[in-house]
Amino acid sequence: MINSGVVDALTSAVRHVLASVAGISAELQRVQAVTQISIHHELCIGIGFEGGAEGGVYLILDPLVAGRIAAKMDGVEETPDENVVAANLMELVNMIAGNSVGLLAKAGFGVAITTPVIVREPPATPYGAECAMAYLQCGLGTLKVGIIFADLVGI
Amino acid sequence: MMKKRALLVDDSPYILKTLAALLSKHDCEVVGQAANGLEAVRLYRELKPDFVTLDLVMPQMGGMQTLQLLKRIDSAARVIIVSSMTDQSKIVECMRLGALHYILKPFEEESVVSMLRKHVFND
Repeated sequence: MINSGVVDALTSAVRHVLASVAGISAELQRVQAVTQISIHHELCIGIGFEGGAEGGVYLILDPLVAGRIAAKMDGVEETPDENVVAANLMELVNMIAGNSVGLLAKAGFGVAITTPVIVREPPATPYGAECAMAYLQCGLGTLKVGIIFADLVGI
Repeated sequence: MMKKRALLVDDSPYILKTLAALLSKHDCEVVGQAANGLEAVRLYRELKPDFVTLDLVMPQMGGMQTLQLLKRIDSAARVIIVSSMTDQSKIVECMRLGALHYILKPFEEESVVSMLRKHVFND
């Protein structure tokens, strides 16, 4: 199972960023060890970690929930068009990863982040990496946060 | 009061839109927007803004390199970093390279207003 410091850092960042930019309160329901990050007709935004550890974080959510979050980020009622939804969610993931960098450093992992991308296929889990899926519940529905993480020192 | 002219540099349309709306409310005019460092340097030369807000993680040319280039073009360039990176060493490095201030994303309106007072309007 992935180091708990890593999971805590990422899920704390998700909750903080969602509350700050969209006024959404989310609670962590459970964290499950998985062998692969799977996507089922969902929107998935991924961002990579590089440096003292390698891997990525993936925000996976129902397109309707994504639309509602994007609308809340813009302070509007109507769901924005899909390009705006994607752009808003990519920035959300960028903020989540960026905010977790300091927390990861405290957990002993000095990392840099890449730019976020929309992920269409389940990302491969590299040799030596571990995978987990965190489930967060908010008023709009469930958010899944996939984490692939390889502690380079530990391999 | 004379409006201060801002160049916004970020690859996120969401941040560009949010910052532009916020700055416009506080006596600033957004004269240009760039989605990467290369575009930012070109626009800086052309527009000569009063200040620049600069993201760190961007495609083509990131914020660190852009900051160095802007300071080489104009040592008096007023550059404010707006980034989600909470890594202390990154923040220290930006200040060493000549950034005036570091605003963490997600940001509150107050932190942007306080930055404007201190570094742009020099109250």
